[in-house]
Amino acid sequence: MPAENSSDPDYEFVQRAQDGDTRAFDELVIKYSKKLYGLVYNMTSNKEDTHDILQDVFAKAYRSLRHFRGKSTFYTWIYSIAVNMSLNFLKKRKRRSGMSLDAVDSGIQNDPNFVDQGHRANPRHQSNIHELQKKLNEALQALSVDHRAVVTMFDIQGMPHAEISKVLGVSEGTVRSRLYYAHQQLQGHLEDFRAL
Amino acid sequence: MNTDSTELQNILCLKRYETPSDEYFDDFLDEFHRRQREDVLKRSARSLLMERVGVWFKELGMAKWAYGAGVAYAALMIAFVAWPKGGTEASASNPGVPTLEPVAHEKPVVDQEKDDAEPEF
Repeated sequence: MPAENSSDPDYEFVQRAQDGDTRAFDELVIKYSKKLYGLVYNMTSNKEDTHDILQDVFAKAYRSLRHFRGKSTFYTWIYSIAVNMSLNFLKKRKRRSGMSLDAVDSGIQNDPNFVDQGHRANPRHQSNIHELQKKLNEALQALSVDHRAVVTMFDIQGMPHAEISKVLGVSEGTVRSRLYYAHQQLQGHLEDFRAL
Repeated sequence: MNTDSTELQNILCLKRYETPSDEYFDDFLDEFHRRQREDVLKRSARSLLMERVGVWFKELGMAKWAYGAGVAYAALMIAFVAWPKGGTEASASNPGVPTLEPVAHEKPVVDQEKDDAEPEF
C-alpha cells in the first residue's frame, strides 16, 4: 500500500520507490546516508561496523518499503530502523565479548574541521585534540546503549526531543530523563576538558 | 540550560565532524547496488527451487501419489526388518557383546538342600 503522508518532503521519492523506481530509492539513500552514518557511527564508534549496519539499514528499508504507510515521515521511519538495528547490534556485541575500547576508532584527529572546532570549543587544550577525541569516544562507550542513543540524536545530531521520542517509541519525559542522566555521566568523564 | 551542560554540548558537537569523505558515499551507493544484486540472485535461486518443487508436486497425479506411498511403505518395511534387534537376543547369541540392559544385582544362589542338611564329617 503506498504511503499517504503528502506533507512528508520525501513523499514523491517514496511513492516512486514503492512503484518500483530504484532511482528514487537511490535518491533517498544519497539524501540520508550521511545523517544515518553519523547516527550509527556515534553509536558504535567503529567504521567497519557502521558501514555494514548502514548497508543493512538501507537494504531493510528497501525490502520493507511496501509496508511503509506514511504514518510518520520517511526520515523518522528510516531513522527508527537505523536506531533499532544499531541497538540490536550493540546488545549482541556486548553479549558476545564485551566492547573493547581498542575497537573504537580514532581516525579523525587530523581532520581540520575537528581540530578547528576543538580549538574554539576549548582553547586551553589546543594540543590535546586526539586525547579529547579519545575521551569523547570512551565517555560515549561508557554510557548504556539507550543513553548513548539519546545523546547521539540530541547532542550530536541536533534532533528535537519530540522526534527522538517518536523514533525510540518512548515519551518525551523519558527522553529528557535519559539525557539528564547521560549528561551527568559524561560530565564526569570529560571533566578535564571542560572549560572551567 | 546551565553552563556545564552547554559546554558539554559544545564538546559533543565536535563529533558531527566525524564524517567520511564524499567519495565514501559514492562508493557506498555502488556497494548498496552490488549487495542488492547479490540478494536478488540469492533470492531468485531460492524462489526458483521452490517453484520447481511446486511444479513437481502439481504434476504429481493420483498414480504418482500411489507410487510414492508404495515406495515410502517399502522403505519403512525394509528399515523395520533390517534394523538391528534388541540387546537381549544379541547378548544371548553372543555373550561377549555388552548390552545396554540394566545389570541385575542378584544374590548368589544358595543351595537350600545343602544348607538344611546335616554337615558331613
